[in-house]
Amino acid sequence: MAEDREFEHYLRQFRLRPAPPLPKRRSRRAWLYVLPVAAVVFFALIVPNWWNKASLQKSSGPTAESFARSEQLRTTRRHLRVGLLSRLGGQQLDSVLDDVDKLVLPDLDRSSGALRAVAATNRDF
Amino acid sequence: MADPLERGSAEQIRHLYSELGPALLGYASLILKNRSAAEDVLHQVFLKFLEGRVPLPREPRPYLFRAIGNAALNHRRGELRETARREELQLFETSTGMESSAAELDAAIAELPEEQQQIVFLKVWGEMTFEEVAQLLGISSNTAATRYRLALAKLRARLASLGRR
Repeated sequence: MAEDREFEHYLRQFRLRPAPPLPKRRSRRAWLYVLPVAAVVFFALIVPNWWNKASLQKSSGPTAESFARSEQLRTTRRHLRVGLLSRLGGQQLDSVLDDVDKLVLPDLDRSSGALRAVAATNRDF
Repeated sequence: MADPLERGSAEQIRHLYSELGPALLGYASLILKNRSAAEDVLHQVFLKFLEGRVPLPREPRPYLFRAIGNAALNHRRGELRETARREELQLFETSTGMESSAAELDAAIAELPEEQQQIVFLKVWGEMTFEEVAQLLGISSNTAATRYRLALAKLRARLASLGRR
């Protein structure tokens, strides 16, 4: 028995690993403070953000359609540059390209027609 | 621990947690063989007390061990339906110079039959009496004492073979 007690004493020297902290209990009263703060944050930050986004979408911002059109024009312009370069061999290229830019960049809608005109001219080289 | 705690305040429950948490966690780990699952069980039980869903009895120590034991067994039953993930038992802190002994004691306890593991743990680290251990495990006090001595002898032999005792 004495031997058991001594061994028990030896075993007690080993300390158990600690338990992790107990998670905080959410008090029902906490909602009294959390709800008004959440409401203020919602109306002060989130709603204006939505409003801005909505009004931006209504205004004349870029749309998928206009983006696709401008991409198409850029591609056409690139092909045109290559064609001109090969035909002119570098001579007068800068001035021709400046003309192309003037036609293409200011107004994408108008420039698509202008580009076709330039392309038609290009065919005559 | 004889303070009357009919419906413990949050402070009393947190105090009980800091006092008994490590032993309760160890007991749940012995049953579940998985420390993270044991932590979940421990927190579930204490959150019930904190939320006032369950009143604390006058003698919380045996009651808490019983509550943890039941919750761990329920968890284990649920786990058996899934694939249970067993880990190496790591009950003890590895303080400086005791790293290997702590691991050896963990291994020696893991080799004991499950009931002996629980009896030794509840008696030595749970600081429970044989009567309390016997009530918790549904055996007689004499059986608890006999199995305890048997378990101590096995542990002593195991640690002696490693040159620890």
